[in-house]
Amino acid sequence: MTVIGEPISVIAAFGGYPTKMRPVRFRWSGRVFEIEDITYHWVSKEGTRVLYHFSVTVGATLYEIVFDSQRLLWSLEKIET
Amino acid sequence: MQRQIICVDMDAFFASVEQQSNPRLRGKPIAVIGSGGRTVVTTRSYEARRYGVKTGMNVYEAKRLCPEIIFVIGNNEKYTYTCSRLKEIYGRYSPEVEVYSIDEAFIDVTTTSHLFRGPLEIGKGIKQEVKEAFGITCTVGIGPNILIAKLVSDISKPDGLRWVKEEEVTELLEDLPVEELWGIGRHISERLALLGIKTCGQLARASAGLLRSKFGIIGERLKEMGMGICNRPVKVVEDEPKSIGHSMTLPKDIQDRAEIKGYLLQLCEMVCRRARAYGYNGRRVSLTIRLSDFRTFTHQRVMPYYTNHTHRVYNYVVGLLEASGLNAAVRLLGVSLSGLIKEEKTVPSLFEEFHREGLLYRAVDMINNKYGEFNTVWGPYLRSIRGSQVISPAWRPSGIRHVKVR
Repeated sequence: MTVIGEPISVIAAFGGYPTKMRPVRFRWSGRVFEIEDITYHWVSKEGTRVLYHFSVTVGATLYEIVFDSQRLLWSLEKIET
Repeated sequence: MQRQIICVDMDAFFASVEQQSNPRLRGKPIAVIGSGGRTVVTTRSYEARRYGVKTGMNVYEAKRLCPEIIFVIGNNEKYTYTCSRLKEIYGRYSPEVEVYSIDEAFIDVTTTSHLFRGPLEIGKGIKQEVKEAFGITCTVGIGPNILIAKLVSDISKPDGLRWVKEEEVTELLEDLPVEELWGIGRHISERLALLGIKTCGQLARASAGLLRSKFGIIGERLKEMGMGICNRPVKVVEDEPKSIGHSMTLPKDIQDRAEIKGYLLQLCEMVCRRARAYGYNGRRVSLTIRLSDFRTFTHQRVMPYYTNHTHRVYNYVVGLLEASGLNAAVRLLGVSLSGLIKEEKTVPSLFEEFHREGLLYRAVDMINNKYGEFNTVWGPYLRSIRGSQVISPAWRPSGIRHVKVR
């Protein structure tokens, strides 16, 4: 996967299962991406920071996006085209 | 009351997680490998297994057997998080859960199964919840003890669910090769074969005296295993640790003494930080060195005091290194601290220096607790690859055996 590490804007829905938070679409480099599927999710910690990771697909492309719950920031971490 | 033990074993765990994460990998032969330059296959998908790819193979061997194999660098955070969540799922069915390894757990449902219409329904429930939460499959084996539950899960893979009741155990074991039993490895099975014992049925009928004379104190235990008897409980509470250790396969073989010492200081810090976090001091230090030709040596020394101060332990480890007369390239280094006692049982040092050191380590620990592991490091290992990259077999989702892996 290609490492990106850039901030993105995300619209997310809260509530539901198995993830309590579901990213729905994100904006990156001026383009809007509609998330079709959340294929996996996991949580990691960096000190007291809790990071919510989502593997999501848009078309044939796989993205890993991350929500930093302490800084309230979303980022696009990786892409696999 | 007949005991009801469930063994949940995730199917090709790391590979299944990666196939679920990336739809393009589904249905294809994949192998999960580490991020280092000379890693081996840690898990392979069922598609790769058909080509004979095995855990522990290096990437060249795997590629030779299966030219179309896809290597995926593992993401340990994904696996450890999933394991922690799986434990929560199991905990809904019984408070008696033992996470035996990253991908295996035992659940004693003897006293709770009636609440869920029996152990088989619990097995179905677990499989369904795991599938819904993570999209991956597991195999559930149910038996009257851990030995049988583990066996049933092993022979029911993948995506299996089977309950073997106590009265069915003898029939199940009769013609089963002894090496299928958990705890009987190649070495013991070869020695049993020399006695003409190849199946569990034969092992069950073997003379206890003969087994004792050939295998010592485990002889009778082997006979019991052949009969499907196992009294090991599901361990809900972890045993007190006997040692705290870390080892590291280096990115490349190194001979430079300063570089070796940098890694040793890092390993001492990882060991002592964990000891400090859980309030242990230790007195015996061990240094393990594996050379590039895989010869491995372990040297030990007892310190005159109990401590969890990184540099105190490091000084003894360096002493062991110097005394070893090492003059070859090193592939792996390991440090462990044993002879552990709780900090509150340690007689405090009367030396001011000791006290001041303790405050320094506490401050560094607090910074790293807040900002992340290895945020603040000691100078000599600034340039080293840092932290655990491998999930050790002793890893657990919580407690002192919980080690953050990258």
